[in-house]
Amino acid sequence: MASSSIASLLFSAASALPAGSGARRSPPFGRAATRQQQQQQPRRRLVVAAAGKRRYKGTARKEALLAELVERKVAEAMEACAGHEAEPGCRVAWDEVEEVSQARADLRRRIAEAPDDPLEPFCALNPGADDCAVVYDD
Amino acid sequence: MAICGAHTTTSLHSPCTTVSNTGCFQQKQVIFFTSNRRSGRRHGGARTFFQVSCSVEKPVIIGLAADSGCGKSTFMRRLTSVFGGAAEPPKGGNPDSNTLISDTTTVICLDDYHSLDRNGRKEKGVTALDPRANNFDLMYEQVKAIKEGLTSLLDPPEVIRPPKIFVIEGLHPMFDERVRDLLDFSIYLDISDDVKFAWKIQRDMAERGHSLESIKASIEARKPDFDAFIDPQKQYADAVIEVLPTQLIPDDNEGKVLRVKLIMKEGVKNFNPVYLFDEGSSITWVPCGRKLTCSYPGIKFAYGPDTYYGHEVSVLEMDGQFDRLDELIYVESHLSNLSTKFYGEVTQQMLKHADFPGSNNGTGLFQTIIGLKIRDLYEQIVAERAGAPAEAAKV
Repeated sequence: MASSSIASLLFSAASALPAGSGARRSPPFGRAATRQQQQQQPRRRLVVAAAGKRRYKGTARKEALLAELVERKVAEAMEACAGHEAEPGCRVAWDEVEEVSQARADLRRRIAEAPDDPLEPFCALNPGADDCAVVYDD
Repeated sequence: MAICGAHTTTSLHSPCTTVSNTGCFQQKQVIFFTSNRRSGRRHGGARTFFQVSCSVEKPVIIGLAADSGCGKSTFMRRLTSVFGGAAEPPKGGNPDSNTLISDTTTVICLDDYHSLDRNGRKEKGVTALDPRANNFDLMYEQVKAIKEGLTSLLDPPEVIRPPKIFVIEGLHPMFDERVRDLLDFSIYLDISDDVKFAWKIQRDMAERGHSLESIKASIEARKPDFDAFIDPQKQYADAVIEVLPTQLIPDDNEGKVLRVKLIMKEGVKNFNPVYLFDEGSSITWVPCGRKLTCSYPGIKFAYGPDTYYGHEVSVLEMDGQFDRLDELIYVESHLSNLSTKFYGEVTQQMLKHADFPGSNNGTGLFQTIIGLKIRDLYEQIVAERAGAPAEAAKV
């Protein structure tokens, strides 16, 4: 499958990387630290090899939230309408489903279309924000 | 001139409306505060506000009625692209913002004028489609202010250039008569039920929570409100893009091949409808033949006069799909009154966004054409305004 071949490509590329490159923080000084770093390196290479898309925590969280919200809202709507199709409560419930479904679709499309993360403009100015922590997923 | 004062409550039920200046003097600033529950949720509880400063240039206001969410719709992206640049949320501002800004265009989402937030709507049994969910007074005040040349900016307190084109997009841009009168041009995107169903299936089937039944139930539950409140707006629109299932493939229900009608009102100021071959006559045209080979199901055009809700209209219709670049350029070369600035501009715009949905059928074609028409309308209005002071000076 494509992903395994990409992974192996990354793996071989990563092993060619000089020590300390790709580190998020500046490399610690001192001999003990270097040894620790050497120990870390294979692990880091593994991370690079397994890494899929780089994204911000805020976006990953939003995606998960929306997916769960869609599920929940559909269940609520089914319940609200069981036997009460004509009532406003039923209509409002399905309207909510539509709203979250559209939001979910918009986010999915936005992520797929552009190479950068939707939170890019925000995180460029607020790199310290919790939402701007970098996560990788496959 | 009053400035909206101490509305520090986080009440989401009564956005502040304080617009008491009617004139516009040099560089005065007015601050409108509105509540926006979306921006309040995740990023620091920032509330959307308009910071306006006066300028001489008055934008042209376009209304777009669509049920596909705000600002992110394909139509909007094509429109802003015709004017140049890509539209993005305001820099440094709320990333969840529904506002898009490009060099020449600002798109405002009418969702932000909900007077009732989701909980309020639930309590009252009111859907987002219901006009009771909106604050039309606020909408009117702010659109009026924008039209009078007050630049409006949102979230970040930085000044930006006044937009040439101001688009208000949402479910109810033409619902309120006062707002309607402020629009220089209005468009309604009319998706037929079959196509809507097919699109929503494509959109939602992959979602964990959804099934065929839930998608169907959602459409049916929203239909009464949609038919009562949203649909009637199409009689007021200057242009309607109607999307129907194709007639070229019998029993097609996938919604992939589409029949799209561009219904253009006659007699609208600064707007000359597109026509095929001979203006005012009725034409059916199948471009595929000796000069142009098309793959299945081909392309079929129709053009002719008609009446629509009591108005005289011209209807240009396309059924089928574009397969290749030369089909597109061939079709473009036979259409008239496109308001292009050079031969092939429509094709160029379509190619630029070949990845957008609808790029191979009438939806993309007509949205692009409407974009060019709006540009033409804008330039005519600007030329008029430039001419007018000269006239006044003569007198």
